[in-house]
Amino acid sequence: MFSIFKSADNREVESNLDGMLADCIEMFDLAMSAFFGDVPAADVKEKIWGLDKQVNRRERAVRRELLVRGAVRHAEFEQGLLLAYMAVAKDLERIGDYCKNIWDLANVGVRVSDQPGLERMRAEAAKVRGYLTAGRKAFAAQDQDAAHDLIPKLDAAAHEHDRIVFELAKSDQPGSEAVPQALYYRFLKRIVSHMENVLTSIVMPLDRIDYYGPTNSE
Amino acid sequence: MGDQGTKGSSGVLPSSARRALRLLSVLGAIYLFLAAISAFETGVGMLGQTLVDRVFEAVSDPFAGMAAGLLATVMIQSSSATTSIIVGLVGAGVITVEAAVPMVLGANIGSAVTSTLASLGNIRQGVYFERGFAAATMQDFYNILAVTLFLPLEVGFHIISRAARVLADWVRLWAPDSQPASGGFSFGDFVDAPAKALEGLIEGWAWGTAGGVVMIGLAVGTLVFALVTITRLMKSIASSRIEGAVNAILSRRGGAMAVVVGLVTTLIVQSSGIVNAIMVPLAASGILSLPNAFPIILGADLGTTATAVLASTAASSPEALVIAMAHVVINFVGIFIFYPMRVRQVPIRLALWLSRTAMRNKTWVAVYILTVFVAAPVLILILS
Repeated sequence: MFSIFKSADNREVESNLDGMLADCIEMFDLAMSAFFGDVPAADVKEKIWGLDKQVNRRERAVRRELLVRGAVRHAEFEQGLLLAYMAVAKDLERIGDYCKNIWDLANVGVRVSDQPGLERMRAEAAKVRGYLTAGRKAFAAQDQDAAHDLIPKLDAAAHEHDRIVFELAKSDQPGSEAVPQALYYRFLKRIVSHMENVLTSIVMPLDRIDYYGPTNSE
Repeated sequence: MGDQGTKGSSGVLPSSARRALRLLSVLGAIYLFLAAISAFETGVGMLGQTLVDRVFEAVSDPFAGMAAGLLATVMIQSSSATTSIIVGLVGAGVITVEAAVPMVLGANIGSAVTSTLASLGNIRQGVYFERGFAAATMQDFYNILAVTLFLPLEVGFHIISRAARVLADWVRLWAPDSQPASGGFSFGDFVDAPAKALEGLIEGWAWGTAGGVVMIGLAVGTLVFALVTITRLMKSIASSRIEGAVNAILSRRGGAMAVVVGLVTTLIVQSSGIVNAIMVPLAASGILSLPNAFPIILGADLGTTATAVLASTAASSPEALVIAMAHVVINFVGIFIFYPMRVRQVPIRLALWLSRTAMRNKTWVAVYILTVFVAAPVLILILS
């Protein structure tokens, strides 16, 4: 009965955040396989929805754990950490949502497998997948060097995705091609930006999370 | 995380040494607490029979006793300290168990005043205030309802004091004898030593009744200091485990296990106030519902009776254990009466009604707090 009084620490929160990121990467893979027509969207629906619910559950668990930590410990020294974890959980939840949005495109019948620009779309997906994996490793290890290395790459990718969206907006491609592609790059951009936010929590002061660059003291 | 800061100063001692030092400090604080009870009894003995008779007369009316217990708890902001003082008064023979039971009931009502006041921190935050204030006042209503139920039964039939005597007799059968086999130095002598030394010193100054007042003042101050020290140290030692237990309760949605968590947490930190201070912000945030918070309160109320039992071990009269057991009986029976969901809804609905009324008109917050914790007990004292 008294096993309920097992010790709690930040590891549970960190484990939930890492779990959220792992779930997001799996959602990303499933969404891409459906988007590129490698598997029918309906075949991965249950799995991707299940993962999305799991990500949401984990986010709520993180919030509860952080609130309990603050209430039990009156954690003056940890306030910044608790708020940072809260911000990270929200960013990870958003990554999951955008992965589901990409799957939604496949689910409503968008077929990009015979569209021009397929190779570029696949290449960007592979690049972002690599960033998510490297980002997960950097966040789990709280590796500041890796974060400093990754953030500019993520930032550049986000700018590139924005540029492609505007390029598609001005292109003469038919709407049935340009609109899904623009949405795809827009969702990729948001995934990349939220991953960047997660990594800024490792290297930036609390008030500068989401804003990478020189701090006030620098 | 980068610059968010993770922990406070780690200090120069290794964590195991810090932990051992804290545990030693807790033992020291428990000794201080027991010595304070003994000193309180000695101080009361120095007051002289006339003054003692007046004190007894003042609280012999059950309603006056209840009001006195309530006011004392509101002033000290600790029902554990109040019940310990009551145990000391019974131990010193100033009041009978029958007169002390209403005082314990009053102390129970006063126990939630700290969390009620703390919930006002959210008074401008709409729903946060409504939920937090409801969680805090839910305990007030539970205790008021319990007193409404128990006080007539005690006044009319002495049911609580009779049950407490049976329980105390049973406990004495199982408790180890603290007296040494043949004239050696007992644990009781060890606890009484500071009081005897202080008594000798004060009597040397021939202050008479004033000496008793000084002794009582020192004893109460030491008692409160010891309780605060025990609470702070035990909280720092056990916070990680308490956090784990609260997390588990939140994921399991309360139930009987929540009673255990409230009970054990209060036993560890020797303060139901700590449990309330955890529960109110969780309820205010909406992650702990009132029906799920209620069993935690029931457990915490039972856990807080341990302080009076501990105090009774330092008292000279066997009646001290009886009043400590009366506290146990009140809060133990309270669990069985108020735990069922239908009965639980009564204090919850009253608290929700009050918090919604207070949301519409904040004046009701002041009216409620001043009436329940100040005006009503003062009026009862004056009238009786």
